[in-house]
Amino acid sequence: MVSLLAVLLFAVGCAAQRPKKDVRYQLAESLLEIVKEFQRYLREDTYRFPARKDPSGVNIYKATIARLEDYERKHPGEYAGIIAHTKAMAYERLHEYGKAVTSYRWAAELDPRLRPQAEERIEILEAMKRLAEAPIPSGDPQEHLTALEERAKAWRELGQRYRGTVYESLAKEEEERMDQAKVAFLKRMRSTLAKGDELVIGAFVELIAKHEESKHFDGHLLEFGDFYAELAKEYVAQQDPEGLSFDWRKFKELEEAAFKLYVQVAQRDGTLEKQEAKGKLEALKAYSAKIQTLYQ
Amino acid sequence: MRGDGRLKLRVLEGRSWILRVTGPTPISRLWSLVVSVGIGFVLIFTPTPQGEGAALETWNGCPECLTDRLLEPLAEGTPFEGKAPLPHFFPDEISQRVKEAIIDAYLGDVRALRDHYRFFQAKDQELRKAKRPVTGLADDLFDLLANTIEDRDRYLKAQRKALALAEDPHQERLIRWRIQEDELNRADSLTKDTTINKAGRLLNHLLRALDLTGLLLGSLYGSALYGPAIDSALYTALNLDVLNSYDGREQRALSLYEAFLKRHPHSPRVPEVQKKIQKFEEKKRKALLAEALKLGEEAEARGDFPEAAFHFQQALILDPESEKAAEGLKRCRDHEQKEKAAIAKALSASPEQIPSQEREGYEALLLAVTTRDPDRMLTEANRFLAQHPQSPLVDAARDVKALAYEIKGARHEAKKALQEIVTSGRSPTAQGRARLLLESPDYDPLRGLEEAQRQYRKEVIRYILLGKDFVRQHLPYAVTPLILQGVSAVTPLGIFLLLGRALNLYQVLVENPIPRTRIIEEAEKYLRDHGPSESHFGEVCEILATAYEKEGAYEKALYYFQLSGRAEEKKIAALKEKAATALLHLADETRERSRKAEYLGTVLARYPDTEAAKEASRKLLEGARNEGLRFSKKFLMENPRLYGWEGLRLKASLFDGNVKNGEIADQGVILRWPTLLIYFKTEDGVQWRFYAIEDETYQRTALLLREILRERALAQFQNGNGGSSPRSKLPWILLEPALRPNPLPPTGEVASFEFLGQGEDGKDGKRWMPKIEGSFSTRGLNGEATLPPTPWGTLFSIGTYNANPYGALQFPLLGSFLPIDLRLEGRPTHIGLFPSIRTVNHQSVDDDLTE
Repeated sequence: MVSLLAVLLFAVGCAAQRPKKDVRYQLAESLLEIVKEFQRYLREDTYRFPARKDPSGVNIYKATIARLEDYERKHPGEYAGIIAHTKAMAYERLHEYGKAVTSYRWAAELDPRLRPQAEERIEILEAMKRLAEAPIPSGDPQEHLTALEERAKAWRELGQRYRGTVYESLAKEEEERMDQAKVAFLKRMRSTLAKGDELVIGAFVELIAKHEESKHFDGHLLEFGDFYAELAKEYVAQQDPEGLSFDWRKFKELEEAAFKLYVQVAQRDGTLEKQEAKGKLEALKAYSAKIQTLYQ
Repeated sequence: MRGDGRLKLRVLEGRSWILRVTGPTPISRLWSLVVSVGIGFVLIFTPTPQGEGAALETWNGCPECLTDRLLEPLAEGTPFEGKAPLPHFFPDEISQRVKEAIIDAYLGDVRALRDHYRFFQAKDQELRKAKRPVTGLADDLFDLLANTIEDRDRYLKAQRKALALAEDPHQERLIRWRIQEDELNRADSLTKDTTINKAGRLLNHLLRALDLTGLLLGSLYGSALYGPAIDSALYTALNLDVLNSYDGREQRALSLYEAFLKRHPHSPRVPEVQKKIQKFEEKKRKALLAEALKLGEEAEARGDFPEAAFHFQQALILDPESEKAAEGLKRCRDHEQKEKAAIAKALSASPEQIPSQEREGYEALLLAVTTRDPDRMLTEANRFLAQHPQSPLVDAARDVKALAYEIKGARHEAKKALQEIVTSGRSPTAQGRARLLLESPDYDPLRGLEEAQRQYRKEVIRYILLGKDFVRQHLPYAVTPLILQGVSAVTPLGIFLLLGRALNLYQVLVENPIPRTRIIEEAEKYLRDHGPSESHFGEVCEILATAYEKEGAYEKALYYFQLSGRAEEKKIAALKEKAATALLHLADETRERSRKAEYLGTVLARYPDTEAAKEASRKLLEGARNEGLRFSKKFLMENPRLYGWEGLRLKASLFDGNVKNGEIADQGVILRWPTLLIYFKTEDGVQWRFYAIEDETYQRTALLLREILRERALAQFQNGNGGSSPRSKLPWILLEPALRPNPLPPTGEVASFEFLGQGEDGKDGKRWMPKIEGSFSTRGLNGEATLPPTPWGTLFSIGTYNANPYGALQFPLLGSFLPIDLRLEGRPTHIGLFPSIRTVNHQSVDDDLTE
């Protein structure tokens, strides 16, 4: 019995795994199938969650537009109102407000049953289009910053007006983009601004505090960490670690700030940014070790 | 306020008030003392304070002897020596000559230096003849001369000569270090070590079958050795790949050879070194290629084609001719093309033909779905199903119902509609899609987590049954009995395997060898996507908490147990204790005070009700009082320059063991500019006192400390403990502020570190103990203890070999001359003597450069 068990155990050790069948790719059988799948994967809160993927792994909005265009090629003129309406819904979630307005107009014109819903959305989307396309003055830095802040405020107000709808999420995303643009602008201009580094840090803090719920929150933390790492590298470029004027504590302060931000993301399981954060942590650790070796 | 005396008030154990008197001058201290004695008497007759401050401080001496503590613990009043006169070692002529020699060295005047060297040689001879103290500077001059040589070979030759002349042990150590630090010498030494280690480890397995006592007696000691010989040969054959591996020492050797070429491009040894570099580069290329191919194949096997393509591409960069890599990459590219084609197909729409009688119903369905109106969707779907029960669009209509229920949040009904398609659908495509949906996280949110749990259980069972590397672990032990004993060996082999499984089971229960990473990731994902209102929320929190607990992440475990609302108070309390204890351990492990304080503070803030918090509180208070650079008495006594006139200028009588004339306690002193805290050993116990010190003293001591640390590092290097480079990261960094014009950094942060004598450190304290290592596995119990280096034994080991227990003492055959040891091994049947190749165990401190 024991001998048999021994042979059995040995055999189990040499057993191989069987491959699994891939069932991801299925062709849409009808227009109803395309529209149904789109509605199924439609996510209302685009601010908190990233766009869903269809079973083949493609962004559902992009996949739907591609399928509908193919359908239009194969069946010219059929169900044009429904196709335009569905495409409009996909466009608005992709922040293509102009295309969404045009598609809703088509839908309203081609299918009177869709008109009330389409017209209501056209009004909102036109306001969003106007806001998105209005130019932002770029001459004077202060004027540019004020314009970005005002634009962010306008998006917030628009979002509040359409609370509970997809337009609130879309407006929040736009507001977040404005806040990101502010950070990017300050980062670009910091060498010309008084206390430029502090201004960037302030803008990052504001971005992170305001958008804690955002799907991009971990990305913001990583970018903030990158900024501190950049400051540490700039300090090393200014003060030779092998020289006497290099202040180890000052370098360490910047390095630790970056480290803490990266750790926050690296410790969060199941996120897209986790691996990136882990890589950044390793790189930072190696860089810090190099500077310490040069310094001491 | 540095000119003023200082007065500090402390509450001790809720019963006594303590006044601490400090001041930079005796007058200011005296004035403060008078004031403090006055206040002290007032306080003695004041009611005893109660509350928070009462338990904060403890006194190591007697708490009740207030007046004693107000008085100087030293009879003589000051622990410091008076100002020392400037050192004057030599007569002016010698002093002048030394200055000239230094200037000549800077100017690179070798001839003048040679003259100075001859002068000091002659001078010392003359003094020796006159039986007067010699200058002892001749070897220093030779060293100065030797350091002007740029050519490597001549430089090393001169260093060796300087080594022969060196009388000062410190200088000897320094020269030895210089010789060994030479890139080529280090690289050669590392190469030699690697060859010995790789071949030695393999050969030692073969040599274990070679009993010298048998050979000495003129026989091969019977068949008892055949079994071990087969085992050893098999083990060696299975591990032959070790010889071609490219390890860290070789990486370091390669970088050192390259550094040598850069530094000495005209050395006659350049062609020889270039050949070595070529050899290593080739080895490195092969090793990297094998690694890249292995990673590529592993990624391909688990279906991660982008990752596999990355590794195959890397392999092709290393070897553009590699067929394996090219084929692997082609497979990945083909798969990518197929996937792209599949996606392109999936993004197109198939032509549809709706029968005219169904068109109206179909349009109504389409419109309902487009407007996302669930009630209308249900109405239209039901109508369509009733009107066209035989239509090919029946599955689509059922799916519209499922979607409507989804939008309404009626997940159960939606599931039922989809299941209907799976069981009685007309189109296999529709059935497949419905099945896919049912398996998706939307319909089965726990699927990913359950799959991860299943996978974990499978891995655990696999580990229990097969261990980590079944073939490599078991083949040598299975083949020998089968060859020697035939079929009759199967039963004992079975028992042996069963015992092995039991040991693996034990490891699973105790050591947690299989990580729960995937369970954690899936559970985190679930919690991120689903709110607390989900029915499985508590269950998932509990699973996640348990996984974190098993992985030792107690804080996260605690968080999720609390979030689950399912854990009992007792469980939460136990976890809090575990989390706090883990932080306490972290605090104990670091000697960097700021980090230590951070850990202890976290314990107090997060787990105030635990036993560990009490301990943290005690340690935190102790740490706050000891902030600064602490030198234990033993450390000071081991480095008398530090407390002598070159450093702190403390009286030597404080170290003579006589308490009556003042004696420093074991705690030593704490230097924190602008004060020095001294612990005194008195008849009433340990007392402490602050003294003001001058900038000059602080700076001087800090510089001297750097020198001492350097000497320590050199000594460690000589003893083989410090690896190849004498560096000790932390103290250098901590001392850095001391070298600045203003010793205190602007943040007010204090360089905090403990300098302990030999054996005072927890780790050093165990040095008298042999280093013990061991394992308990399917092969049995194995352990070895490294003994202090003596001719009588360097290693003691016990264990099982070929299913027989043994105990062995290893000793060098010819000291360090030949890297071969002998093992005197006692087995139940006999005592044998076995040869063994001595492997090199020291670790390079430069591993970070080669990883």
